[in-house]
Amino acid sequence: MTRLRRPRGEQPPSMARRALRTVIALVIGAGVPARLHAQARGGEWTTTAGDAQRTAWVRADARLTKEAVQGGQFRFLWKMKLDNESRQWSALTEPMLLDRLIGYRGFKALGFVGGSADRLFAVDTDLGRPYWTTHLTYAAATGGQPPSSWECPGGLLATPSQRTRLAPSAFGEGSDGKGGSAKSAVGEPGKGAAVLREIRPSAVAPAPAPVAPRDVAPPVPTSGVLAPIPFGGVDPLYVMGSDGLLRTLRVSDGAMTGPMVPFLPPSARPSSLTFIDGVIYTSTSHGCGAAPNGVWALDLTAAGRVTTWRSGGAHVAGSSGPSFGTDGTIYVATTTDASTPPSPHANSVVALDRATLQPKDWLATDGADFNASPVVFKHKDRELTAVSGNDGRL
Amino acid sequence: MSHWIVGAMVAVMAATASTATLGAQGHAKANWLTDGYDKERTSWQRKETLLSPGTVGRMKLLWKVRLDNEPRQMHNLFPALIVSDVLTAQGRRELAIVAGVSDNIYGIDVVTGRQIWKRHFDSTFQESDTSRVYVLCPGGLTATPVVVPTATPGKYTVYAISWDGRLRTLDAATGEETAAAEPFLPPNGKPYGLNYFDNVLYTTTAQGCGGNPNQFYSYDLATRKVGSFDPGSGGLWPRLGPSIGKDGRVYAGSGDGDYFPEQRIFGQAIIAAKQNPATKAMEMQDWFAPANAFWLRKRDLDMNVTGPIFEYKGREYTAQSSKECRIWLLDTSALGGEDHRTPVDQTPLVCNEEVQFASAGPWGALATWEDADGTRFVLMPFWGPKHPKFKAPIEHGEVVQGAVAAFKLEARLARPRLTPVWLSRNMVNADPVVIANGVVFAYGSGEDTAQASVDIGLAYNTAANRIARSTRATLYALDARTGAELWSSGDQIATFNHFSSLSVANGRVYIGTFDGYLYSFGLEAAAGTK
Repeated sequence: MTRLRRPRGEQPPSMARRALRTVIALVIGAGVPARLHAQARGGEWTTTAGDAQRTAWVRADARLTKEAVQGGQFRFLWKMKLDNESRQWSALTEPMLLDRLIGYRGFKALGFVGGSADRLFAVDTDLGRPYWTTHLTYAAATGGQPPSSWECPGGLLATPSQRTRLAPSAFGEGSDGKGGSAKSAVGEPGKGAAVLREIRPSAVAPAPAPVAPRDVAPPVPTSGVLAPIPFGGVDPLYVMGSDGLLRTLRVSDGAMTGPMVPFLPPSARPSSLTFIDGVIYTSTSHGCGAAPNGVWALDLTAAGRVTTWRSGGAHVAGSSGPSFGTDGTIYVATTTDASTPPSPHANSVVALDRATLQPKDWLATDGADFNASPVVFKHKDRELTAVSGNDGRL
Repeated sequence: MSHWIVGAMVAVMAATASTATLGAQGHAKANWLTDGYDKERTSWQRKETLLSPGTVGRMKLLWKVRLDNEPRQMHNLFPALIVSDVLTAQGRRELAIVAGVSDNIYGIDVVTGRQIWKRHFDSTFQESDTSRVYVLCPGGLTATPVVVPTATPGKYTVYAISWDGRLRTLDAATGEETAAAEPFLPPNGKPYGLNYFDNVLYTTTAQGCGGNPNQFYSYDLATRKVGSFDPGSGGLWPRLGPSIGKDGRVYAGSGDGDYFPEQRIFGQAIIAAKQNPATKAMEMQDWFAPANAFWLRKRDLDMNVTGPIFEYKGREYTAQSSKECRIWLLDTSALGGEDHRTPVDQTPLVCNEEVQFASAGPWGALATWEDADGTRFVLMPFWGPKHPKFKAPIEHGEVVQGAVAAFKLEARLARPRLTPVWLSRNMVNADPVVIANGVVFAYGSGEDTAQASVDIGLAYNTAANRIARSTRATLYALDARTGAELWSSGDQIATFNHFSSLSVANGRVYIGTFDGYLYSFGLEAAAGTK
């Protein structure tokens, strides 16, 4: 029996099945009966694995709890056939989740799923209804898309991204209830309501809106892409088609809000996108589309300047793409196969400077055969990274 | 004369009139003394004799008068209160008492359409650049006043809340303040239509305007004590103000907020509160939270109407709704049953398939009336398209921008059920209806109700944007039994209105608009019309 050789660095089962499972899994819980008391809003899922550290950890979801799962409240809610055509092993990306868009069609919880046929699907995840679909018309001057192959399937491969914090909040989004328990009161005769006794300077001159605490000082907004997200969540979604051009889509209707920006060579094999502080990051592997394997950064605050770190031929492992330390250091793991030339960064975990993409440090481990994006986490006072290899070791 | 003495005199006068019941007046002619007609907020004019399905086809514009009230944001005039027999220096007159958002109240002779008095309130509140004012928090006078008969025939007292939160007491005949302004609410808030029962004034507030809490409030005219109840929720924004049941319970829906009853947090609920007769504090009596309260919260589908109260087969009920666009029928003796989550009945979704937080659903008030044969109707005006799954036995064309849905109560399996009867013609954002003598008067406000746009989201929600895209209001007369259109104002009304309502009495229907005009439509045969 002939066994198909899976590209190294990929995980069974098929991405299509994984993606579908992910879509379903992520929406389970949306309809959990309202008797669950904790009603905190779930966090956003703005990049692959939920955060820049690739932890895949929702720190506080008040509804998806062990008790809810054990209590039978976790159940199948819906599934949806999206109008997409698979390419090789590629079909749907992991969904990005926007928990609350206050848009022209109301409050929406949306999932954004990339389709290998260069399509971007927005889904109302509460109702299991399509919301909008955007076709990314192939716009590279190559005379059309090149043929698809097992290792270079083409199509939309990079999971889209919304604005992502470099460091996650220490806690999830809390309740935005009005606060305070019900209470009765009565004022003194002729003195009006009891509340008039309270010191309420805001009744006359409201204090400035409180500034949400942040883990990292925000950059000076020198560009529109760094402007604060307006209340209501109308913040762009960044997506790249097989032509290697980055699109900025409006989440409310999927329309492009600006010109396409060249990022990668056409028909490359990118990992997921991550948008942090005005810069889009991804990595490439397998030399698809003649794109050198490495890490790529597109600075939307600097006229679309593209910076690249070349791995010397080694594949960058993992579909999640680069991982980020909370100080901004980028971590990638590399792997090799028979097609890759010798490289000093083969079978390595490499730390890159976020601004220059120059290596800051690396660990080369012969035969490690890394197969995933690193995960970054804090343990006591240190920030650690972990990555797996095809031999099963972590 | 000290404030205390004046207050005491007013209290005595009011106490003597304390048995007066709004709506159920003993006069021969019809009045409209409070928003929604009566304390129950039925919006049903019982004493109309001139307007009927047989006569409304002859309705015409009787007059319009421009009042000099300056609009604030999208607000201008509040619904006219009609007092048919005010004793003035010139004799008995039928007056319209109209409040304007810029701290004005006007007295209009409804026979001539002439303004006979105006009261502009002084203010202890100083607006500044930091006073946050926007569409939802316009500042100014936002609560429709209430008119209360005194013990002296022909003498009426108008109660209002000015921008600075003080209670104002006026003589309906002259507009003169008959008592010193008294502290009532925090300034710069957003109270809704005043209600009155048993010598106590009631209102609710919303949007946290002015940094103020969202609460039920009562003003006890005898003791000058203000009670309050804070349900720990979002705004309490029944447009016509809270409704009051036969035992004095005050009902309003709470806006977006958590529903944690074990923590005494009551967002997304219909709440009954009542004044404690001893302490004068407002205290919670009961509540109903729909089973999908979390969903309503998540999608901003909160309770946003005045729910009328009525009796049916010996029991008292209230009909309530939210932006979700269904009606809950609640027994006031046990709102929501033992678990506070079970209505007596609920309709399917009538509109808002899109699950919109703006431009869809009922936005204002439900209404109710009873036919001569005892059939009880509940009416729900709403914005936006009809839900495709909703069917009524009688429908009057495609509904894409709003309409009025009529239900009747039917006793089945020992419980009353809401059964669809008719669905009106399309109208642009149908707002609160009034009923008189077999006729439903409805109107499409013509306002742009969008709060978000595709490109800039919520930043769209400015008065400038919305005014520019608003059109005109249109008044309709519908057959109350079938919903058939009997008459419409066509293009006679020049502009839209926002968060107002109608009133009807003695052959005339009144509507105010954003440009400051008060319109009177009716029959030339209306008593005394010249």
